[in-house]
Amino acid sequence: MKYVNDTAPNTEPSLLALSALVDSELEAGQIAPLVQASVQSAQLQQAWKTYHLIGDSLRAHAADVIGSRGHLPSATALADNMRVAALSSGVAANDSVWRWKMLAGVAGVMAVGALVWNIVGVAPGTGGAVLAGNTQNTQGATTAVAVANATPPATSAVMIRDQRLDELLAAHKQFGGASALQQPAGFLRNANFPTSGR
Amino acid sequence: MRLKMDKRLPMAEPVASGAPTQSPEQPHGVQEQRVIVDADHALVELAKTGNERAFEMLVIKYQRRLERLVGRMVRDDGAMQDIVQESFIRAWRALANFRGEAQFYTWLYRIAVNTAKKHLMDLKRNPVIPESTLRGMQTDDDETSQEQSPLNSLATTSETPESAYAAKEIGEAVNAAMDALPEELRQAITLRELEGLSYEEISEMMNCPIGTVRSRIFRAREAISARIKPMLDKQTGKRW
Repeated sequence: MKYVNDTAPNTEPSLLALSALVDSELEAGQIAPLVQASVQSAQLQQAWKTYHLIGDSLRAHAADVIGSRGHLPSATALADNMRVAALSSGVAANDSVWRWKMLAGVAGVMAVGALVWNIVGVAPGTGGAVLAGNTQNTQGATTAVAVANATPPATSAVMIRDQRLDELLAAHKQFGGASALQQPAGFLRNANFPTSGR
Repeated sequence: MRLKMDKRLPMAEPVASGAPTQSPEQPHGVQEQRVIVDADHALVELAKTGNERAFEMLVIKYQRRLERLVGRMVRDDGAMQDIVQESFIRAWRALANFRGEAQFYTWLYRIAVNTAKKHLMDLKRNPVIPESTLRGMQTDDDETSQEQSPLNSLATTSETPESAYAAKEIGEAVNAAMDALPEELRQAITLRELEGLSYEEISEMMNCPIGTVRSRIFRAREAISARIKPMLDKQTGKRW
């Protein structure tokens, strides 16, 4: 392509300055005159084009080299490779870091602990009382008794049971039902009170 | 003709807005700060006056970068080329609206991204879009559709086997020329083009003055240019 006006200085200093302009390293005062000259000069235009072409070619080649050596595969290729590897091996990709045995062990210990906790009781101070209460329930006491905690807390509580209720329960033999809570729920869950209206 | 630098300076350096133009009494450092303009601004100012060559220099500078950008959004190589060309045409049409508050590439980047998004939306609506439709793509409310572009002729650089081969050949020649360079030249241009270091950083790394760095990079470019010149002459009129 030939330009009409080709009067701009085509000396080596101009090309040297143009090279610096390509790199945005030219002194501010020289930019405008050089740009103006470049627009008017075919040689400077060609040099501008060539200098950019060189940079683009070098960067493209570097990218190709990196890609071909596998240092920096594209994200798609990487994802594909991982997918294929996972499918072909049958082993999870994160198998090496997934400590399932440790997690399973911790979960097992926690499950056993929860079971023991439920059996023994919520708190050490009340565990005996629960057990005592359960025992008494299963024994089917028929008289009104005052049940105190085996190890009474600071404020001792006395539970007064209605004798008529015990009689009623004895008549219907609704004792010792086991609930889904894995501990005797006592008579209250299973008590029923047939009345004449039913 | 000198550029209207005094008019442009306040836009390029907001600190200087409202201040009087530079005077000889000002310290040199302050003057340097105010005079800073980059090649893009100078080229844009020229292009605004209708200078196509100035805009073509901007196209040469940013075409590959825009192709990489759009290529990450659009997988189709042909569509990518069309979008890049369309973006440049839109930029040319809207250049009068570019006030220089942002970098030219930032502005160009937004145009390209919007063009690519529009293409992807069109693709979603209608999976098969003829190339001619994309080339003629114009929206009435778009700031870029104000006038006919004299650069429509630029939008004809589709990748052909010949051009692909030529590009490959030129790339190989560039690499061969790089291998033949003296060590200090090769190191200087590698640090600049591949590592993206500034001249100052290169001068520190190579333990030489900045002027030497500038000279080495220039000599390296000239040596490579001499090597690929015959191929470029064959490609006259084409953009590689």
